[in-house]
Amino acid sequence: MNEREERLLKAFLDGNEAAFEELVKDSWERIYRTVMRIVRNHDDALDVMQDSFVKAFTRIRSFRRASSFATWLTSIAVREAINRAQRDRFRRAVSLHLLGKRPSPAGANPDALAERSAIRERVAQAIEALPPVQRAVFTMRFYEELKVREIAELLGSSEGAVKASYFHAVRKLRRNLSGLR
Amino acid sequence: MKGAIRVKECPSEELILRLAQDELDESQSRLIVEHAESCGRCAKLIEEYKATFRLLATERIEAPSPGEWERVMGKVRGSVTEEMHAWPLWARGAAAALATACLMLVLWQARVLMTRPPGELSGLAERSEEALPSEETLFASDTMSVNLASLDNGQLDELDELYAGGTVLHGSDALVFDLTEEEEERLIEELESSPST
Repeated sequence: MNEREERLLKAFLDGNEAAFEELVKDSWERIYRTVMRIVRNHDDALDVMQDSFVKAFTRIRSFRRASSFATWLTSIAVREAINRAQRDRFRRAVSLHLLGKRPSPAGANPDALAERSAIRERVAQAIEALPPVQRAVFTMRFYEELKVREIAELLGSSEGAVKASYFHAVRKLRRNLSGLR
Repeated sequence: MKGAIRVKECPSEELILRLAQDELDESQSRLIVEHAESCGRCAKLIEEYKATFRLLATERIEAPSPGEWERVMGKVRGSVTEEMHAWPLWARGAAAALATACLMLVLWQARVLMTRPPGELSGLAERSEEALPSEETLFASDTMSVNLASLDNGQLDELDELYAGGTVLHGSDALVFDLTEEEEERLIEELESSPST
């Protein structure tokens, strides 16, 4: 844990509840991106964030400081996200490409925009097709650039299992995206 | 050395994946690239993985707005306050156990009252078929038991009158009001000697 986390954690444990928000604020955007990539739905991602923060708040006294607070919080959020994705795996999620839509720049080529949109949709569908644990491992390894050891710690899994999950995920993605290359 | 390869052998797909992601050291990368120059299958696989990673890197996630964060944190504050004011788990368990015990006690009492033979209950009228001849005086009906404790003084007086006059008593039941044996015998005699209607 860094000095700032130590200070905020101590303040929180001494009764300053506002310190908890400061602790959470440091990492919530990064955690949101990870959670969003696992659950694939904006509202679900916010729900997972909320539940994770409540869990962290109520369990903070059991936090053993073996890792940073941010890593501990990420671990809670990733597990929540995987559980949510497994529970809702038969429910049709709103694809990321719809959520990430921005207004088209003036003068943009409509054909090029349509092609880019189609590519985004295919990529989102390929990621959504992965099983939740593989999706979580792929997200943390590829997008968040975490080390295999860190992911194993976050998931409470072995490094071998993480490597295998990542390899299977990328191989599936290569096959599912073959038509786009 | 683990992970070492020779140029003539095809590397594993995992090594190719790591090459495409720039995760191998320079010597390992050079060996695989040299191999791929003479192996169409590996060259194709390397290109496919590189293209896949390029496509995947296009996915962007937009962060929630400050308003959305504020809503999330507002809900967190609400949930945390609720949790803090909620009874602790052991207290909730104890309350549930107590409620269950009370319910079971009530059910047990009800079962006892419903299944215990009338003779075991004081203050209840009981059937005494053999004590009285059939069609003789009885109280109210031949199937009914009366809990005297539930009657008020007026009703008890009315009962006394009924059993003294014997005008509305029919059948083969007698009233036994926690009487001594002598009192009971006297009562039966009175009932037997009273005129039938």
